[in-house]
This record gives sequence, C-alpha cells and structure tokens, in this order.
Amino acid sequence: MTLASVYDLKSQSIKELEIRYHSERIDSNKAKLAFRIGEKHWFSRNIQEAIIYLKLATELNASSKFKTNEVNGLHLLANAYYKQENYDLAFHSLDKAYALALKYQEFKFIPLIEFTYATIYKILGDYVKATNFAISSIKSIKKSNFQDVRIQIGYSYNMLGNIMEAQKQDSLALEYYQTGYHEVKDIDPNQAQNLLLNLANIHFKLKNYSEAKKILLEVVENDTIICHSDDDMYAFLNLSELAKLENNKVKCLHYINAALEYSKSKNLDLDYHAILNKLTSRYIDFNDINKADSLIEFIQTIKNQNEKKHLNLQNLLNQSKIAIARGNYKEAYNLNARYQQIKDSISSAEQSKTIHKLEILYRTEEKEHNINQLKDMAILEETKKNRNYLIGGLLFLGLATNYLWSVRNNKVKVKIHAEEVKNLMVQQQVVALQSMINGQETERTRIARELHDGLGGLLSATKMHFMTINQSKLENSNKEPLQKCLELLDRSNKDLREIAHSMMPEILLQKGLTSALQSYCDQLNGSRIISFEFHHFGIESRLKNNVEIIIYRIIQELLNNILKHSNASKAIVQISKEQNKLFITVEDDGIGFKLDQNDQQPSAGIKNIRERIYYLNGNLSIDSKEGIGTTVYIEVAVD
Amino acid sequence: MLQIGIVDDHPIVQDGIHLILKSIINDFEFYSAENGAKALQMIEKQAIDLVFLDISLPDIHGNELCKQIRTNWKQIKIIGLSVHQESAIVADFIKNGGNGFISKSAERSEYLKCIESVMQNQTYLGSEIKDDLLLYMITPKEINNFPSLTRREREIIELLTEGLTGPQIAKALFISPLTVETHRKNILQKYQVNNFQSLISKLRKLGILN
Repeated sequence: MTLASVYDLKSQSIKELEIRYHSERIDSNKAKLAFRIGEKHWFSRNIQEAIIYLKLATELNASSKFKTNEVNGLHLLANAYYKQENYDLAFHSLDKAYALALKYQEFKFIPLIEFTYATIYKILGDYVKATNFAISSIKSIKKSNFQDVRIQIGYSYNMLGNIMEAQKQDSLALEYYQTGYHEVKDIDPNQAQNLLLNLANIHFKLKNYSEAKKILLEVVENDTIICHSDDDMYAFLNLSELAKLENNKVKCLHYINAALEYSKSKNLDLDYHAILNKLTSRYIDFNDINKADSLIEFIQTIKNQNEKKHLNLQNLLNQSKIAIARGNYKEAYNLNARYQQIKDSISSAEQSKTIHKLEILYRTEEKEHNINQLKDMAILEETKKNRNYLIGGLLFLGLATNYLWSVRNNKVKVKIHAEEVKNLMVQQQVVALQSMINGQETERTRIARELHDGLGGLLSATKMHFMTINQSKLENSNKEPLQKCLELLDRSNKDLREIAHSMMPEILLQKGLTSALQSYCDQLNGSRIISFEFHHFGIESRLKNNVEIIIYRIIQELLNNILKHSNASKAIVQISKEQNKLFITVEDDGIGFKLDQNDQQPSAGIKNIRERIYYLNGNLSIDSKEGIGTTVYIEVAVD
Repeated sequence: MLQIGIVDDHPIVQDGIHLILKSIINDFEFYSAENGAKALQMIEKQAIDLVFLDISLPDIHGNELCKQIRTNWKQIKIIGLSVHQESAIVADFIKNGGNGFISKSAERSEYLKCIESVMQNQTYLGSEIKDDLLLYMITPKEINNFPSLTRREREIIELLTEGLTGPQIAKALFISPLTVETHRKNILQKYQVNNFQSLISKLRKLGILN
C-alpha cells in the first residue's frame, strides 16, 4: 500500500477498511488503518468495536511514527471506555494520552483531554476536579493557535455550566452559559443554540419565565408554528412548559404536538415516546382523561418488546393516575404495584452503578470530599425510600384490604432493604478506611511539596533579593544585620527541607520503594550507632504508588522502634517479591520484649502498622525473644 | 550575547534569578517559563544558550524535562535548580544530560562560578550538593563486608543441611511453602551463588556457618 492511499482513508467504508487492515503487513500502516476504523466505529456509536480497534491502534502506534494518531487514538479510547462506564480504563488511557501529548508537544490535544477529564469527573460526581479540568481546558483553548481547537470553547463553558447546575449553583451556571454563548455565537451556531437552550433552562429554574421565553423564542427564530431542528424540538417542549404555567392550554398542547410531529418525522424514537408520555401527562393535568386514556392505548400499541424500562415506567404511572381520576382504585393499585416493581429494579441497578462509581473515586481521591459523598448517598437513599412509601401511602389510602396486604408486602421489602443498607455500610466502612489512609498520604505529599517548592522557593528568592544589595555602599553598622539575615534564611531553609523530607521523601515518589529504603538505611547508618543492612530481591518494577508509601511508612516505623527501644547493634531489612507477594523481614539483635504484654496493649506504633497492613490485606507476625532480638515478618499481596 | 532562560513556576524565583544574573553578568537576554511545555517552546523560539531548570515543576519532573531538552538540543547548557535535592536525584539529573546543579539559595559567587564552568563545558555542582553526593557515593551500604543471615534464613539453612525438603521445613516452621521457597531463593541471591552446595561452602568460608 502506498502512502498516498493511506492518507485517503477518510472516504472509505468500515468494511473496506477492515479488509485492508487484515491484508496489511506493515505495522505503521496497520496502526493508521486501525485508528481510522476505530474512529469510524466511534462516530457511528459502535463503542465495543471502536474499543477493539483503538486498542489495536494504540499497541501498533507505539512502534509507528504517527504521533498525532497515537495521542488522538488514546483520547478516543478513553472516551469509548467512559461511554461503557469503564472509568478505570478510561482514566488509564487518558493519563497516557495526556503524558504523550506533553511529550510529543501535541498541544492541540491538551484542552480536549482536559475536557474529557472534566466530563468523567463530572459523571463520577467529583465536581471539584471536574471544575478544575473544565477551567484548565478553557485556559488551554484560549492559548491555542488552532482554529479547530478554539471552536471547542463553547463545549467547555457548557460543561462548566453543567457542573455548576449539578451542584445547584444555578446563578454560576447561568454566567458560564452566557459567557460560552458570547464566545461561540459568531463561530458555531450549533453550540450557540445548545447553550441558549441551557440558558433558557436555567432561567426557567430560577423562575425568570419571561427571560426563558425570550431566549426560547430566539432559538426557534420566532417561528412558533413548526419545528425545524432538534434544538427547536427541545425549545418547543420548554415553551409548552411555560404555556402550562401561564395556564394556556391551547398553546401548551400546540407546542407539544409540534415537537411530537417533528420527532416522529425524524424517527427520533426515544424522544417520540418521551413526548407522547409528556402529552399524556398534560392531558391529565388539564383533566382531559379520555384523551389521556386513548393516548395510553396508542402508546401500548406502538410499543415494541425491547423498549426501555423508563418508558414503561412513565406510562404505568400515567395509567395509574388515570385510574385514580376515574375512581378505579383497584386498578390503580395494581398499576402502581407494577410501577414500584420496575422502579425498584431500576433504582437498584442505579444504586450498584453509584457504588461502582464511588469506589473508583475512593481509590483516587481526597478523603473528606468522599466521606461527605457517602453521607449524601445515605441521605439520598433514605429520602428515596421515604418518597416511595409516601407515593404508595397516598395512593392506597382508603383501600383497607389492599392496603393491609401491601403493608405485609412492604414489611418484607423493608427487611430486605435493611440488609442491603447494612451490606452497603460495611462496604462504606472499608472504603472509608482506605480513603482515610490514602487521604493522609495524599495530604502529606501535598504539604511536603508545598513546603519544599512553595515556601522553600520563597525563602530562596528572598535570599536572592537580599544578596543583590550592594554591600560596599552600606554603612558598617548595617552590614552585620544583613549578614545575620542571610544566615537566618539559610537556617530556615535547612529546617524546612528536613520537615518536608520527613513528611514525604522525594526519592520515594521519584525512584520508588527500594531506593527510598536504601537511602533511609544509609541515613541511619550515618549515625554509626546501629548498623542497618538492607537487601531487596525480585522487585524489578515500581509498585503501586500508595502501596509503596504505606510499606515505606511501616518499615520506617519499625526501624524507628529499633533505634529507640531495642538497644541492638545490628538490624536487617529485607524485602522480596515472589509471584504477586511481597515478603518483608525486619530483624534486630536487641533486647526483645515480652509479646503477650505487647499484644494486650499494643503501642500506637504497632497499632498503626497493623491498620496499614490490614488495609493492604496482608499479614503481620512478630517473633521476639528476650536477649536474642525481634523479628517482624510481613506478607502482603501486590499486583 | 547569552540567551538565558529560567524554568520555575514561581515568578518571585524567576525575578530573583534575574536580579542575581544582572549583578554578575553584563550582557544577556533573559526569558522565563513556568512549566515544562512552555520551557520547550521558549528554548525553541528564543534559541536559549543556558537554561536554569527547577526540579519540581507542575507538569513534569525536572529530570525528565532535562532529558527531553538534551535529546532535542545538544549544545544547550542545562543547570538544575532546587531548594534541596536527594543526591540520587542530582545524580540522575547529570546522567540525563544536565551540565550542573546548584541550590537556589547559593551565594552570588557560586552562581557566577557555575555559569563560567558550564560555559567552558565543565560539570559544576554546588558545594553543598557536591559534599552530599560524595557522602552518598562513599557511605558503606552495609557496614560488614558481606551480608548477614536473618534468624529465619539461618533456621532454614540448618534444616536444609539436615536433609529436610521445602514442604517439610514449611511444616516445621509453621510457614507456607511459598515463603520457604522465597527465603531459599533470597539466600542464594544474597550470596550470589547458584546452588545450595556452593552456598554452604561460601558461608563456611565466610565464617557465618560452622
């Protein structure tokens, strides 16, 4: 295949490309083809296939020279993963894409990658990170020279607005949507329309109905008769909500019907069904029960077997409302029972999704924020439960027999629910412990960095400025204080770096566990009191960052104990990896201690160590003999 | 005229370096960048001759940036800059192509000496850094000339010499067979021998075993 033909890939169909991919022998061409196929699948929403080809492309790209495609491919792959709700892998690909974009200086991808980070963090509910990334993507876009990057700015503002909305910061969201709109109104009408719709939504929420209406009319270009686009359709639906608030039945129904007409003509099935349900609700609102009923029947007939559960749900609820309006309580009860059933199955699926999302967050994120979220979730759980009972209760009022039956039923349900909540709480506790330890170390790392880079830099800069004072022009009485200042600055700097180092040694973060332990033993050997030997076997690659830090802390604590209490002359630290297990031995030839005493009242140090080993899912055993010494064995599983 | 660049994310440090340079050299142009990405752009655009590189940058580790700069520009002089660094990291910086390393709070005379040395293609290390690095290299890793056995290792060797197998030892010491196997491998590695026989003779020669 010639190079020219490689560049002409955009116009070919997936099938053709796949055939060419399989007959291609040269890796770099294969990589290019795999990327194009993956991209095509992505744009036609075949996420699974997209992932397969993008992964292939990533592997092949590592050896080829298409740097742009490598970054682009990883970025798309991350997007595909998060669409599949596989956030771990999404982050993994995204991190790689980000690192490579920096390495290859492919700066145009930076804002796009940051935008994707923001998107995922928003899904995961970490609004702090999401906001940060959205803001930095805006910054990066503004700095970029590429027109096709600059045009993305509307999306980033839109994202920021969405994040604010999710946090109920409606007025901030309003500001961002407005800024975004002004940025793109002259360059990208699509984005501008989208932002306008969001703006209208916010005004609606803030009860600025006239403002909302003004914007919506702008979106539909004052043509309130026919829908021309998807945006028009959404605008029409909102206009109908406004008309409902004005109690203008005719207008309200007109807007919905126009939107319905449009969604039908464009085969937008999901929207079509949703709008049908909305229309039914409106009929119920306006007390037009017969029309509502015939619509329900209509929905039943067009509904096919594999339609979405959500649709059923809305339909069922509407049906039961109709039954109530007609005084047919038995039917209402049955419909509502089915409604509850489906709703529960959806909410339990959503619940497990939420838990999964939270878990990912705990593994990576700050503890406090997460613990708060745990609380929120528990509250949400509680209110959800209460709400369900409330709806149920209201509906069944006056149906003595059925009501009694439902109480019995609910009791069983409450029991099951209580168990679920209990399980959830155990999970939460483990996660909370994990996030606490992680949080502690994250915090230490942050403080150490801040001290070292921030304050340390400031002190050095202060000294630099002092040094430029021309001493020969100073009076003698002033020379001495200046000299003293310089000395004090040096001493402060020295103290500062010692504190920073003890909080989090830079060498541990940069060069890993074995280098850090070697350095720590060297440092202790400098005192020449106890001789510390350090051996390591089979640790060829870096361990997970948090595992390294925790093991370092454990060994540091053990060595400090030896230094303080053991009276030993020699100590050995040994760490080896076999399969996926880490074996640690810390031994001294000191005075030893009586174990049972120690076990009853373990010192804070040992307790700390136990906790950390528990967190790593490991084992600790201590073997101490008076007069011979102490040996501590630790085994932890790593991957 | 020298084109000098500084890469540091604190404007006050950039200013400080600028001030010091103004007080020690006459003719130079000064440019600054606050992160790795900008540093690469700055070097490319301004044809920088000498760059001061802070080790801790927001987007990339200084050692990594040093390597990238060296791969792309052979002639440029790179001086590492830090509040304080572990010797192992200073050593890596020089291995990655750095020409010198100096503490941010070094004296003016030291800055001057550093610039003069690297411009004459010599490697320069700040006095304190040099001392640390020397200590780091000569500090004995173990005070003994040969590694010691832990008590557990000694037990295992004794049981092996008595002819017990791995699983039997595991049972006798109440530990898992994998642990015994790990110990056995570690001991061989520790004394750099391939089999148990040579281990025993080596341990006897060293006087560790009777």
